[in-house]
Amino acid sequence: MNNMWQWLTKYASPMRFYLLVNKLTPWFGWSAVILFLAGLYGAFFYAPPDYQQGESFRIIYVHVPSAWMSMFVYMVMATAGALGLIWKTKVSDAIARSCAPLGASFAFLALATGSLWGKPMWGAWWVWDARLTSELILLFLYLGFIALQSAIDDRRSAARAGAVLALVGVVNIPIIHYSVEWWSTLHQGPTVSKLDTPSIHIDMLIPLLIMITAFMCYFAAMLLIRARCEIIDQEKNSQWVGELVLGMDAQNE
Amino acid sequence: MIITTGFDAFKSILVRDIILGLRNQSDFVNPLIFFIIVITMFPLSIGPEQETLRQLAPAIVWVAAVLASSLSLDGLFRTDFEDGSLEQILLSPHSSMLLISAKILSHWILSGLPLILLVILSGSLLYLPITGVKTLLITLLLGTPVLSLVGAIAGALTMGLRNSGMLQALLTLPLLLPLLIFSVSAVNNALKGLLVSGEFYFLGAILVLALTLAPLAVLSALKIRLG
Amino acid sequence: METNLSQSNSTLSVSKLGCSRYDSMLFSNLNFSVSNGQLIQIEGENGSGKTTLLKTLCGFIEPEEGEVLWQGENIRSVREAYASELNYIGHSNGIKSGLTCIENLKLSTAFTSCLITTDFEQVLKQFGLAGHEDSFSFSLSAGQKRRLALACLSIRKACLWILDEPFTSLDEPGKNAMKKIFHKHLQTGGMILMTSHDLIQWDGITPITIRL
Repeated sequence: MNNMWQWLTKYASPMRFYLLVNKLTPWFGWSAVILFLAGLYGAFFYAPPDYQQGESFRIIYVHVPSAWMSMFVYMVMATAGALGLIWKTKVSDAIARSCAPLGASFAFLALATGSLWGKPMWGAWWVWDARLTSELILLFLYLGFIALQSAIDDRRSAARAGAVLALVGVVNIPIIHYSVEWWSTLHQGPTVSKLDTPSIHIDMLIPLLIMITAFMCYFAAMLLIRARCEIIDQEKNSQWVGELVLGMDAQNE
Repeated sequence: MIITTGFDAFKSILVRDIILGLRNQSDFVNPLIFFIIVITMFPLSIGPEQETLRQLAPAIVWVAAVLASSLSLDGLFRTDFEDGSLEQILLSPHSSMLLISAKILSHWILSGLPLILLVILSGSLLYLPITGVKTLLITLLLGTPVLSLVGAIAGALTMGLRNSGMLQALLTLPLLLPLLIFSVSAVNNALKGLLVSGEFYFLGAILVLALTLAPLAVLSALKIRLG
Repeated sequence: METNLSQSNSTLSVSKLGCSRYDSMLFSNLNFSVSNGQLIQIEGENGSGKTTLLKTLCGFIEPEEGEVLWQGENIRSVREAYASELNYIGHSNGIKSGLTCIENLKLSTAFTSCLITTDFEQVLKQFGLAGHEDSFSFSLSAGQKRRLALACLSIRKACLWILDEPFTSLDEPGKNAMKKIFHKHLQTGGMILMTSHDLIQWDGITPITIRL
């Protein structure tokens, strides 16, 4: 436990974090590529067609992981923000800031794929389904976070303000989720949510799990790259960045 | 030497804000006029049929209340920030949470309470029967403090930024959606003669949550923005 | 009646202080202390970090390095005790323009744990604002607003005054009146820490100067 603590605090230093990212990114990046290929193969060829929805259900292999990731990323963002508030670490601020556009993209992807799914099934490009509506509100929360951070000039102040907002959002997300679900049953009666995933057969489940892992690796790679950029930007006046740039210049010549 | 207590301080800030709010008559009255105008937009755009308006009445009143409240929240911390009073409040030896709560309470008295009083007027504009109006009154009583509390968080976070009013609304509105859902459903259920205790319990729970957590969030946000 | 403002030796000290703004360090390794009866004048060009320093001393900004100590303890851990001994006037005056002068003075109840006097009319007279008791603060000139701010400050019992350019907008008589008030405050055991970019002629006070 102590060792893990020491390891974590070691990487709270921006410079060490930068070096760590350089080492880790290729692993996550390549894993993501391999897993995506495997997952998409499984999604299109391995999984049997659904008895109810035919081939169009295959979009769940993008829709479900995106929706899941959008929630997960929000938790990561809020946690990183909280760590930044408590321990004032620059690295956690950079991570929180980098999570937001990724999470928003996942949310948007979930909405877009949900919409694409809805069209062949129900003939409408959009349905006010409980899950899609919750996803839309989550997108609003992300956009608000991004808007707030971009409106504040001082990086440290922006990070802390964003963290407070993310924490307020975390408290609200269960409330929003529950109330939207309640609202949805109120207005649609007791029918099951239109875009519910079909009862899952093991052959359908495996590609889904692969895709979720692929999304996670992709997120990890993208997060690390973005956070690295943030750190460099933040530390641009420090010595180690100067040396880094000089080293790169020397390499290029 | 006169020792001042926390209660004196609370009262002092509360009275100050109410006096300032009442003196700036336009700041006080404009959101209420806005409220009525927004309500008026609906019969004019949908058509004056009683049945349609009655069905939509709770939703229209609540949406208008949320928008009007967002308007009036803009000045909650901005003037204090600009003239340095906010720094004085945070430097006071009295509990900052207490003084901030006084500000939020004054905002509710100046904007939420008048909205509640306007309910009868807005209800009759939209053909809402008396049972509906009564339930609407209770939902506003439980909900308008939440509008002030949650709006104060966004107001504190966006203090001093350009276009803060719009940004603040963007941050607040998604957080208020559960409130909207339960309030409107409560009135609709009351009109159908169904029990509304479930909705009221939920609204009460949201209010208690906001009362306990929002001042903390507001204070953190103010300290962050002042730094 | 002269009131002794501080119990015993009070000190505000700063140890290895460093502050940054917008990703660059403004100053670092700053060390000094203020004790009873001392006046510290912080000098520096625009942008050198004078206001940031004052805000850090008040506790609004967290320093990048080092700490600010009141009576030997970090100001974050003795917030209430520090706040009850601190009066601060920043660039903006901290007075509400929508309130009258008397109302602004009455408001001091909220900002201090101990009021020196409630004879507000007398205080206004002292600061040259007699006759303006019921005028709204927005109708005052910049110099009068500054005087009102200092009036509000004077009725709050506090031994440390932190002032950001207190003499701006004041005319010569105003400045002299202010110097007299500073003198009295220092004599009763108070401390003053201020910034100024003007050269000030002090009579009877020897300020300690710190250059950023």
